[in-house]
Amino acid sequence: MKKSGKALLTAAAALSISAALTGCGGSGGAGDDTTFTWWIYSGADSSYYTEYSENPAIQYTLEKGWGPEEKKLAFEFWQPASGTSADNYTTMIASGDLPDLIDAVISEPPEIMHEKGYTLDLTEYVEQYMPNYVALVHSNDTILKNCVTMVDGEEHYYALRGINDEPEDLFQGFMYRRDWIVKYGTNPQTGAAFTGGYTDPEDVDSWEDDVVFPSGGPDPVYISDWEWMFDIFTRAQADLGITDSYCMSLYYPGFTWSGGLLSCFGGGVNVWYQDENAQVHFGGDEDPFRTYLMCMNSWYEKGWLDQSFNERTSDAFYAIDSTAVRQGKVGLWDGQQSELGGRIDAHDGGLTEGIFVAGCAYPINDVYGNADCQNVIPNCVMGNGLVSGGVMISKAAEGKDLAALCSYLDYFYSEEGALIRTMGLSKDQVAEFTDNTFYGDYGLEEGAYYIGEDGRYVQSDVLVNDGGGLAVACAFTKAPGLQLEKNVDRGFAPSFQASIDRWSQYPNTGMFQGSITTNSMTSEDTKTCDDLRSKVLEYMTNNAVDFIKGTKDIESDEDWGVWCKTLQKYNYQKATEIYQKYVDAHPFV
Amino acid sequence: MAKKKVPVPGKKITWAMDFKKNWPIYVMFLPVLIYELVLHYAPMFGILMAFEDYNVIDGYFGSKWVGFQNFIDLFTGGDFPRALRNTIIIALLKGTIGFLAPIAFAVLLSLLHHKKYKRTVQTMSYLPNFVAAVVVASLVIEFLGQDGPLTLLLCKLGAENQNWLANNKVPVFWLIYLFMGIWQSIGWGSIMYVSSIATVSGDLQEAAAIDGATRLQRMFKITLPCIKPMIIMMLVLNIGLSFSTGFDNILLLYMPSTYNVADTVYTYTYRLAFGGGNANYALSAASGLFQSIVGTILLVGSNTLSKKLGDTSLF
Amino acid sequence: MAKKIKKIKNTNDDNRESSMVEHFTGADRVVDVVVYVLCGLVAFCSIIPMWHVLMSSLSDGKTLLAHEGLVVLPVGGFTLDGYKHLFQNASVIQGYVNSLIYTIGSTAIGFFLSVLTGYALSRDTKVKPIMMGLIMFTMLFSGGMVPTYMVIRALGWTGTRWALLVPGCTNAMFMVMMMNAFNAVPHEMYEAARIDGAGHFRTMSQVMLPQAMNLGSVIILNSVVGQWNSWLPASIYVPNRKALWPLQLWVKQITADNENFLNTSNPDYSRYLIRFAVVIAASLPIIVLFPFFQDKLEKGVIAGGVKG
Repeated sequence: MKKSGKALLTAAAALSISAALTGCGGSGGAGDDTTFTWWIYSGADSSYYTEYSENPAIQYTLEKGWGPEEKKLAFEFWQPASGTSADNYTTMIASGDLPDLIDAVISEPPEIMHEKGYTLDLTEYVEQYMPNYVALVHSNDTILKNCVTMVDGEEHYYALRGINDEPEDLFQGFMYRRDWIVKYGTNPQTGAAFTGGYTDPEDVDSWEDDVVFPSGGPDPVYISDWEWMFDIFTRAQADLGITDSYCMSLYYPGFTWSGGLLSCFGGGVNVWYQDENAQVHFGGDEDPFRTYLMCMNSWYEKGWLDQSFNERTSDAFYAIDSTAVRQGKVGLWDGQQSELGGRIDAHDGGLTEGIFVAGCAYPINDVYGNADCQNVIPNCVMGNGLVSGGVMISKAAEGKDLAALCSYLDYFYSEEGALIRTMGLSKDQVAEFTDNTFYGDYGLEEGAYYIGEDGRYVQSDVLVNDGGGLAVACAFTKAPGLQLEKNVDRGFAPSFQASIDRWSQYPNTGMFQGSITTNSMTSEDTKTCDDLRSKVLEYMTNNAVDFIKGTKDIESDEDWGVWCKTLQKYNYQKATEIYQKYVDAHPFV
Repeated sequence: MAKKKVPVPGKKITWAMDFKKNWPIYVMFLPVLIYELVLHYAPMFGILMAFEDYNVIDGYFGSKWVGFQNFIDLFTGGDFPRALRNTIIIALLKGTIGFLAPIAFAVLLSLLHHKKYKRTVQTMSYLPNFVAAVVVASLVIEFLGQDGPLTLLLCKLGAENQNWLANNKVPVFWLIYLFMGIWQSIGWGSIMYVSSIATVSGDLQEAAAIDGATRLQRMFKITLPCIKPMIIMMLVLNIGLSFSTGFDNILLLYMPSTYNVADTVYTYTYRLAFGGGNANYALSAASGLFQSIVGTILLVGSNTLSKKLGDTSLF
Repeated sequence: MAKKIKKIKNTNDDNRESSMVEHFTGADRVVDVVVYVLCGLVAFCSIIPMWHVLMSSLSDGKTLLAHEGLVVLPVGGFTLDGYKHLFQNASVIQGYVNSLIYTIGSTAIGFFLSVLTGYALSRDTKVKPIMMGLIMFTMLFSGGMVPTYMVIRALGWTGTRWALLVPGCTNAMFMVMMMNAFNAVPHEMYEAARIDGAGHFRTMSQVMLPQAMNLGSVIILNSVVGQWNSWLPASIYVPNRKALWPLQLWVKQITADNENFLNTSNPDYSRYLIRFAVVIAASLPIIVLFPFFQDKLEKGVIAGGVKG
């Protein structure tokens, strides 16, 4: 530390102090009582803009004044760095450092937040300044139940929820290599070879073929159809010289927490679910789950399942071993919309050459277990509802101009505002909004959408071709509001839409986790159930693999008995009883 | 490290005498005291959480007091004994072999004559310290996976081609974790020892050299004894810390099939507390407190032991 | 071998550690060979993975994704696309500046506190055990993330650079090491300074500290690297002030943004390179600066050795 070192340190200290004192910029015409802080769980891809307030749709709607006095509003978004949102939320709530608006993605249910004094009762403002929201909420009984809390027979609004005019498409589901079936399979009835291929080599969705499954239809329906496919995949892989792959991938614990394939063997999941008579069960020691494990064990022994599935612990359940999938080595997997059709064809002469991926529904068991576990429609599947997310307004906003804020937010429940929220700006709006160059910079001078011949809103080709984060970056998806689905044409080809539709072929009637049922629980009951849930899942995550890999014998009543006894020790009935109480009081179906 | 003091003859020093003589030292310590009290001790109320049925909304002072229930939950968990055993074994390996590796490397470096070679080796050995833990973990996964470069090397030596991280036989995972830690810290950790060795008096060395002592002899007879107090101090600190820190990387490397060897108190609690829907912060706080207390016991114990055996101690 | 050593001895005299009289025995030569080989091996093992990352960052994304095993040279052709993606985000530059401010500022404050503590603990006082206990307790126990946040918020530091400069600037380990460094300074020097009438502060800064700088530089070095690599405090204290983010938080953000690059119809495979490019971009400055530090360090050590 000679003189130069000291000078350097002094300079650094001076620099840091001056930098610390630099202000954070004004808020363009908005007063203190109309500048709101807004915590969001995540924003848009940082390659488009780093501050969410730079979002063009927000800037456009903030051009004019809102509320009875037509005041200008401004928002300061609090957006945590990727991967730190949960910690950030906890710090915020626990320290009382609240923003004015809280994104309701990971918060406690609105009733509890209000009861504990964190958020405001918005009833007065909603009824006075949010006519669009009130009308939407009352348009449908399910929406009403999810958006309104009844206190002494009166309606109370503790949150502004996001509302869909139709359930959104699922982004993930099972899909398979249909091109392999055409090439390596034969008609199960006639034994004739299949024919098929792309009608337009440039169009990734223009596939046509004459594939017939053993169950008689053009799509796989039963477990036996899947097994028939696996036979074909095995032949395909042998012919192509693929030695380091498998027919089907599986999530690393041997099951997914969201149900899905689990409920194809007599219904239910391995944790809590409700049956068709609204009775709550714990499925971990029931026959359907045992049958599921039998099937997985049998597939594993036959070499159909990924032999090292339990080693892929860092992969999400909808993107297992993506590298192998993208190289065209896998037959059937749980994937995402962007892998359907010919989209993963790399055109490099590799194994993806001429690929066609089709989505399929959950299979119905017709092979394994007893009669009760066969021919039952899956009942616990992931599905999107009509109400999701939204915002709550915290007590930090008390005294600010909530009338202006609510009028502004209500705009996004109107058709016009919902379009901006869901899709972005139209051509006319872009032309009139010259202050902002975002749309121009990304080639969206024609707007994010246009109105098609059938009167539907068609997404711009620029966004369809992008397929990535641009669509999110140019709309205001973080706003609570109406999400348009019914009248939106996202430019999906019929075969693509058909694949997606198959993922939601069976309705969810059994999984109440995350629905109005569990949202109505008191925080104490939630904690009891969550603790039990994490304990039994911990045990199952560690031990289900043994049955699938055959280390323990699923057919042996002794091994299975140990499994059941261990689970019973956790006293899961306690949670079953609690859930039953809420299923009776707040049914979600 | 407390040096052996020359006993002060005469009467005992009273507090008043001490303050009269040493007050400037206490004034100098004042900024540190303020720093510690405000930034480290004031937040200690957070430890309350370990004894509460904590929930974020009710906060530290509003949550229900449950006494030792969180600890009971932790200790009675089915897999706790296994996790404790693995924690102890991994801490022991880190505390012994992992601790000695940088010292051994520093000794090797000091035996190099050629200065440029020495500097090149040193600079290269610091590199792993700059690689983020997540990247290190992904490199380990890549190098030791099926057909990974290291796996193939091991195959040449007669091992079976396999994903080594999925191998749940004793002691595969422990060795992987140990060597990962050594790889990261061997160069960087040696800096301190290299610099201590360099300060060992040249006169002593020269005298021994003239007496005909070989370099190796000089190393063990002169250099190492000279830096022994420093080594012991670091060892005592290391033992205290090895039980309570550094287990987060395991989260990136283990999988259910290797829990029998890889699951530690930290990872076990992490799954119980954050694996389900709502995070159970109280349980994780209780586990952290448990690890800190064990760490303190180890620290004080090893300090007492080194005071008794080697006459050097940290405090 | 004997010839070689002789040659080194004769021609590279200033490259030698010391020029003292050496008696070379056969055993010494064996030791030499073993030492040189072992050191070389450690250096080789240390550099290989970093080389792998560097070469991966310069490869073609798509080929790299399918590549198995070590990347010795860029696979699928040399590209700089990873770096282009990284630096198209102008905030990265701001991140470098911020990281520099936090690293220098925090190390300076922290070193000052460590020196004060180290000096106070190395003196023979009655309060010493209490001070020591106070410091050691913080090594193992902490109130946790949220309570610390609440205290720092009460100080008014959240959302400012102070939250990143002061709270994590030093730790018990550094303080104890500094105490050790002061203890190693010969007692006579302290006595002499005191007899000359120097006050404690002057004795500490002008007499003792220069002697203790060998371990002192190690602490500075550790602090610099620790601060440069830290992102967690920033994510807690300045999450909403992106202008204050250090480089490492941008690294985390950009890596996460590009993690799911496969999740589009036409993935841009060059985005796969970003995860490698950020490792290089974040550690390169410190690796480049390192030889300079090392020089200073060695000079300090030798100076200390000569005086001691």
